[in-house]
Amino acid sequence: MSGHNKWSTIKRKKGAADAKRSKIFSRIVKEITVAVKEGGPDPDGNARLRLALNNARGANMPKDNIIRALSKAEKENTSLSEVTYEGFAPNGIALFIECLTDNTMRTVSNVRALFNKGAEAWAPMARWPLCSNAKASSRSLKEI
Amino acid sequence: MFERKGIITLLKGDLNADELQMEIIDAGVEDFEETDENFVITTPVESFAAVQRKLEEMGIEAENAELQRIPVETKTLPVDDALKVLRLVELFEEDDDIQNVFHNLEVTEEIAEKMDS
Repeated sequence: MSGHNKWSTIKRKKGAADAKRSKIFSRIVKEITVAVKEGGPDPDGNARLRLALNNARGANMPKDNIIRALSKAEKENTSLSEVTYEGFAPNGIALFIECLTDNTMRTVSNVRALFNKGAEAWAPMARWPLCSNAKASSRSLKEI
Repeated sequence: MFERKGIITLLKGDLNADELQMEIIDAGVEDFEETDENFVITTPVESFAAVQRKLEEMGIEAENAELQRIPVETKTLPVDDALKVLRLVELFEEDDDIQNVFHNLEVTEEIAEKMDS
């Protein structure tokens, strides 16, 4: 287990390069979006949002980006689903993929392509869509 | 193959490792590691919120805190094979729909250094 912990901190340090920094930011923006949709825009009443905002600060995300993410999250109409996949990379290394997506078909197709690229087998373990409270579900029903 | 754990990373600053551990252990800390710049705290899922709250009470802000999937066991590979796997992991991570990619490869210092080149 200790090997993995070091990996996650190494990963963040190596994330100093531009491309990786923008990926780190877009991950956090997504997490902010999901948190706002789940529990509203006020961090005081929303633990998930509070956590996402702390992580944004920890990643040195500029305040402008954070504000933009918050206002976009309130307006955004698409519903995000949390989906996970498990499979194997070459040499029997197990992979666990966590996704946040507004289009599970696109995600499945991309994940499959990546696994075909370098992996041996895969199994999608789709989870239920993110929106579980009444207000949010009626929003996602509208989209259908 | 993977367990969900809370992983909280703190900047060391002038925090004392022993004192910190003593303060937070009752909140439900499972593992406490020290790297060059960080303390890395591992918690079971059930205590993730409590440990965060405890750190907040102590006025300590985490650099990062999130639930991660931690491998029950890691697997060692020769460096070249390991780098191939990590390159694949990077490809996955570049996809916008993908938030996190976890794996059970043992990432040694040697592998971590070679990753950049």
